Amino acid sequence: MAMLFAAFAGLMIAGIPIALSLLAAGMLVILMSPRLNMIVAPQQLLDSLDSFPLLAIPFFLLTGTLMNKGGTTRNLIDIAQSILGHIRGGLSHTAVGAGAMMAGGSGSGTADAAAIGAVMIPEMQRDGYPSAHAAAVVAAAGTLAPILPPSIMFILYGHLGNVSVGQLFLAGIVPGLLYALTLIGVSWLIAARNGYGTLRKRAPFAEVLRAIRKGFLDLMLPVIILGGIVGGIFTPTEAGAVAVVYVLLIGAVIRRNIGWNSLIEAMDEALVILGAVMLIMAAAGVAQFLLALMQAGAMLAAMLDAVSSNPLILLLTVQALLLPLGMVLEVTAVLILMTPILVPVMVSYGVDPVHLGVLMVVNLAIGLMTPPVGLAMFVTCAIAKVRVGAFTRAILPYLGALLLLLGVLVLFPGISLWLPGHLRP
Amino acid sequence: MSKLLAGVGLMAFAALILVTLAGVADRFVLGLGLVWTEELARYILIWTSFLAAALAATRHAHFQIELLPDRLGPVYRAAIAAIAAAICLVAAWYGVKFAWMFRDQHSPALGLSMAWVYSAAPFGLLLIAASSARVSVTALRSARKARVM
Repeated sequence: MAMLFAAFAGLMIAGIPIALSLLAAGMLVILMSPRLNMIVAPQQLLDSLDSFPLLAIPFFLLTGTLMNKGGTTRNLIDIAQSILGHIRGGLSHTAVGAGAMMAGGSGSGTADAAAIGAVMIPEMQRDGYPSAHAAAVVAAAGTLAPILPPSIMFILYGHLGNVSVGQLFLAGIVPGLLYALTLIGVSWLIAARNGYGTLRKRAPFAEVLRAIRKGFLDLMLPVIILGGIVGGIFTPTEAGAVAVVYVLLIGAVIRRNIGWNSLIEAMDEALVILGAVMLIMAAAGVAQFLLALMQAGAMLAAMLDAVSSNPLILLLTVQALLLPLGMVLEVTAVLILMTPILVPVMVSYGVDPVHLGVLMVVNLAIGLMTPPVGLAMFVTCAIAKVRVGAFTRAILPYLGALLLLLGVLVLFPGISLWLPGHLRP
Repeated sequence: MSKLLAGVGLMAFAALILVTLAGVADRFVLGLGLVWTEELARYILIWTSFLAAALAATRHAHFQIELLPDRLGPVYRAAIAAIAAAICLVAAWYGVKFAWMFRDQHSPALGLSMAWVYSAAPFGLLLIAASSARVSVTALRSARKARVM
């Protein structure tokens, strides 16, 4: 097992793509062990992708990229601005609000950060916000996507941990909203202290209504997705296909702003992200198979046993373990590798797997905006043209507040479990 | 190659959506009890994923840590890309063997030879190896140019 991790880490740091580092490390271990045939490498590569629930991933990626082409991002930003724009630091709050609404249709934090950032970062810079602050807020807003449904991380977690994706989607709603409120609170404090941005008048109610009417069809998307899943009309996978068709209908037929070219662009963007995610998924399949063979779960259980048998302390331990992993590794890879090991162990200690899923996803979402490898961070730093160092200083207050929120979520499982308990899909 | 891949990938995407929706429509409207939609969708997903991975490779979109390649210059980058290509080639070789082994096994609903499904992995890996090799050659060329100047 040490060899697996050492080879993986070594190749990755050397600059080999993460998926290939994982694959090479797996093949190396297979090669070294006399009982295993190399044929298990392609077998596991293929097997880990051969799953109907995983189909939801391309669908929600495409929904996200189509939303950008069809003006959904703009409409949602307008709604957020009409409601939150007059509060001090209004543009920061607008970015967070838009992020929360975008998250209701798309599943990828990086894609959302890019979409919101393209509009909001230049606007914030014009209004006198420091570039690093703008990049930090937008990156944080993007990380709402994996927490608020639909979410690719929840799909992966549910698939690998044998947990209902519908339940997970519901469980993410309240923590996701709290996450958004936390971001808004921190933005307000920072803006009030430093006097960022110009103060605007509160938008008249009629304008709020107008913005909502214009974006009504966009706002309905999360309602359709969640309603369909909770109502038992379709599975999360099928909800993804329905979401794609819905966004296409709005864009191509009703608003007529998605033509052939933008459709092809949207598909192309979605495919590129899909390729990167699925190759990691496939390669992680090989590593997972080996970890299961080496009984990594039992080793982890023994380790945790040495710490405590109190589920609360164990949950905190696991969170403390995941946080640095999510920072230094690509978070999807961490989720894929850790879920199959962690879920059975933690469930045996009486932790609810849905609760654990929410905690893991919130924890790893934080890793999306931290150096050295936070993808949302790279995206917004590129748009705002700021260096990672400046970004890091700007993101620190948000990280502090979000870690506090994570602690609260650990202590009060009811925050995540109340909603799925009342609405059984 | 990038264009061609994108085109094939787009068709696969469209097929995925149609097949999945056929499954939904079947359950609520048609009621034919189509069993092949789920299987076909899974197989298209496998192919789409590996093709998309190859496409992502041509766009340098695979997650990687650029810290060392950025600092240590083009010769190092060329070496790293060559290693990446080698990893893909080795995996592809076993992928071909694996697909060949299962040529006589057929899928339950469609009766498709599993070799067709399983060749997605070596096919995609070979394409990734090709684009890594290209990165390697480009980096070497720029290194030589820098030395001449």
